[in-house]
Amino acid sequence: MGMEKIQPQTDPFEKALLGSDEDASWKQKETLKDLAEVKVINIFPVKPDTEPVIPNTEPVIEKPKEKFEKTVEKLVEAVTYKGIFDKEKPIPQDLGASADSQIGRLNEELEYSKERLDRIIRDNGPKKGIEYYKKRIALYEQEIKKEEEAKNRYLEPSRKKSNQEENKKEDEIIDLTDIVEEKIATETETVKSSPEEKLLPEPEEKKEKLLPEPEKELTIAEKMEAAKKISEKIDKEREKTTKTIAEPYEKKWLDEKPEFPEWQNITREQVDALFGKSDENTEKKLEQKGNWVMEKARMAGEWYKKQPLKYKVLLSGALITTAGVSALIGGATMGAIAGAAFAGSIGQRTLGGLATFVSVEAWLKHSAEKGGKERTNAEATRHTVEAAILGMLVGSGYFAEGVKNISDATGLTDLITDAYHYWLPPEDVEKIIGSVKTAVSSAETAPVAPVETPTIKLNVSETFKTPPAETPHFDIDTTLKIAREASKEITERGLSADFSIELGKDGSPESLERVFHMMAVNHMDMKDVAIFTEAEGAKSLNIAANLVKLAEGHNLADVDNIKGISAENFKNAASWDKVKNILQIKDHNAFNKIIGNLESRSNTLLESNVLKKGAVAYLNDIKPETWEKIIHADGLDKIGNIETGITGHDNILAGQIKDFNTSEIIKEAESTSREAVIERMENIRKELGLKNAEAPTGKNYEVNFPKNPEIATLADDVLKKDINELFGSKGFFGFGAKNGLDSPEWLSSKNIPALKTEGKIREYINNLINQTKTTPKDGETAWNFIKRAVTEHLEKNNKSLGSSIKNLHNAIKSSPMPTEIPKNNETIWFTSSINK
Amino acid sequence: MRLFGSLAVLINKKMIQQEEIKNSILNELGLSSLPDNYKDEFLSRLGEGLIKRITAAVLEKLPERLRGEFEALSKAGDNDKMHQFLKDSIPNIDEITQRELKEGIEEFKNIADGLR
Repeated sequence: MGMEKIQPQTDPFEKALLGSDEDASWKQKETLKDLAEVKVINIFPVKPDTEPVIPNTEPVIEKPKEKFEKTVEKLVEAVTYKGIFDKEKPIPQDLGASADSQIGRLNEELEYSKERLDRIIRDNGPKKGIEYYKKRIALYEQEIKKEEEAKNRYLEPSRKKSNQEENKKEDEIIDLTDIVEEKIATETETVKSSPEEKLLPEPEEKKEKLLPEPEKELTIAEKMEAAKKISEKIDKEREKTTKTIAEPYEKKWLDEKPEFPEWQNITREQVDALFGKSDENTEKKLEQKGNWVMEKARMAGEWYKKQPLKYKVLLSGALITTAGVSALIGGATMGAIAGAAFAGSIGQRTLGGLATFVSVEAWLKHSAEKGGKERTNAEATRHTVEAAILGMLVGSGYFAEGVKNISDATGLTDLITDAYHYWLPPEDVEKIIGSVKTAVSSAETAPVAPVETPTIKLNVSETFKTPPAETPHFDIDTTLKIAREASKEITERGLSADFSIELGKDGSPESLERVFHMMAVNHMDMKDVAIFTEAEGAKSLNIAANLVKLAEGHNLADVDNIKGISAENFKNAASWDKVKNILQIKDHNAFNKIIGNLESRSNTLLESNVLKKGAVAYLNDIKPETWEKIIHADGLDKIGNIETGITGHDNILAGQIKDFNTSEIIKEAESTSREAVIERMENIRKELGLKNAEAPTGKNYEVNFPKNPEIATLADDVLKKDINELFGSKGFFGFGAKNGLDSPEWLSSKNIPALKTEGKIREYINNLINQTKTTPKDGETAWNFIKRAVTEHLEKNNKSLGSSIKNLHNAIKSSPMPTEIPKNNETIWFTSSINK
Repeated sequence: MRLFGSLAVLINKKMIQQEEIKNSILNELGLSSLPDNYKDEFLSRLGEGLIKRITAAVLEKLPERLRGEFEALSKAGDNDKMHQFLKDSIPNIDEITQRELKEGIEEFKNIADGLR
């Protein structure tokens, strides 16, 4: 094919290349490409199937279509802006847009701060608040200024570059056009001169000179890599500016933040208003981030709301703690939250692991740093590993294997064991161990160490051996369910509703003490109690007594580490109207918490043996059949139509209640109590100026047991009756409601020599001497004499029982009291009646 | 389970420490006088807001093209993979989380200040 003569022409393409600024069509790649193609076609009359090596000089050489297009592209690239950025790379305009977004956000915060300041000034708010907001405003203004400058920095080079490149394009195009024109002219001459010669392609080096050296064609991977580097560079630049924004949070704000005054007497309404406003702000924030993000954030909130309260509190506390210290849980938590929030059915597993992990880690750190000392790296590592292990223990599916591997790797076996028992409630530990036994057959795993009660010790390395790969792990979801139900059972004892009760009505107990006693016993966990012993009894009495104190308006002080309870707090939960005899439970949850506190307190007192000297002594004051009613909470499970939740422990039967009358512990406690009473008596006597009672030691003579056993019984009855009549249920000095034989007066007198007693007992002895004609032996104790005299008299006068007692009593009552006490067993005259 | 002896001590210690933590947090917020029966509920509600905020802050940074992968991972429920995925996709996730938490708590405190 011959070659047409090529003549330079003034064609639209040239015009476009050299066109004015108003005509920008040449700046567009597509248009340029088209125009370039036209140019190439003009030079080479035959299109695509034949491709010249050099667009404007070569004769037609048959080449593939692709090479032709490549040539066109090279031409285009030579005269257009060429960059290595791909579409994803942020161009200066995008960077500017990001800065705008940041500035917009800062402006919002600035406006908000100004509004807050105006409000505080208007409402005569605290001076510190005013200073704080002024500082905040100054800071924001400064940051906005910096951000503006950063934005300009981003945009300025690109503007310059863009101008330069535009100029460069023009220059290049002009140069190229000149080159092309020149070449065309040269080659045309060559063709003219030797039309029959085939024009050989230009040598490579010459070819290269015709066009500006195109930059090496980058592969897509290379372009991505370059783009990534540029992005990183830009991010670093951005970080420099954003850091200054973060600084207020990290340095200036927190270091100089005003102290928020304590919010006194915060009410429910205020709490609701606070959360109302906070939630509203949060929602606005979510809406700004787009529908997908908003939806996911709301789902996370819904997932969180469904969790048990204790986990919510733990997680919340850990998040707040994290905000104040270096990120402890950051990504791991986000991974867990993101996974858990949207994972649906396996959320429980994640929750269990998450809750344990965040709680333990945060608390461990807080605990370690509470005294102001930093954890060492080793401690921090240990704590994190420990916490993660516990989290894994509870929440993951790789229970045994994971623990074993980690413990081997870190040597933390003992630590894990201790932490395991320390951080998990014992009932959960027991249940988890129990579920390990039941859920996985022995053929598939190593045996589990036996559980020792009450302290459960678990040797992890021996117990959990690495199972073979195909060994199925036990179902953690079932385990958690069991543990949760066990905890639920424990924590759900107590009142289940608010109610009012009029004491003594409709079968309810008559005294407040009895009602509180039943509530106290009801609250205690007794599912594993075989015998209701002195310990349970003493604790319940202690709790009931404290409830009465609170109801009467007294505060309870701290005990050990257990916080005290104020009467005010109690009033929020319950109130006692003494006049109407009505107990009102206003907030049963709060009331249950109070009882829980008192139960902890009673545990501490029991361990320190305080209760053994106190409450224990009164256990036998309550009859066994009454104890049964208290333990069963008779009459309290339903008030009107309201089920109170006070169901008692019907599983404990009468035979399972210890006989407190025979309890050595109680006797010892009573003895201690009596000694305390006697000491009190002595102090009172001193205060009243009473003559000091001597403390003589009497002698006990043998009292012959009567031949007729009935007389012994009769003698006992006479004595008990008489002594009880003398000192009776009113007691002496008003101490307790006791049998006369238990009264302090009798107890302090009975071992004194009969003739050295005073008061009522002396009167009685005198009358007895008179009637029975029996006199005390030398130094004989009052008790011994009375017993001997009555017995011997009844034996002498062995008539019918009834007349004997009657006669004797009548005689005693009617005999006068002598004015002088005769000595040496002279005849005694009895004067007045005993029962004055 | 008998609540005596060492177990009772263990339970008491755990309860006491958790109570101390709760109280110290509420002290920080200027809300130590909150009635005891409100404390748990209060912390729980505060946590809900924080969870939403950090979820939004983190997921906002996740490139749109990776959302499908995120959904798939969350359905699978593998926390380790999810954590790694988020860390790879959002290199400064820890800083984002912490910053958002701080902002959230400061904002909460400011609202409380305004309502006193």
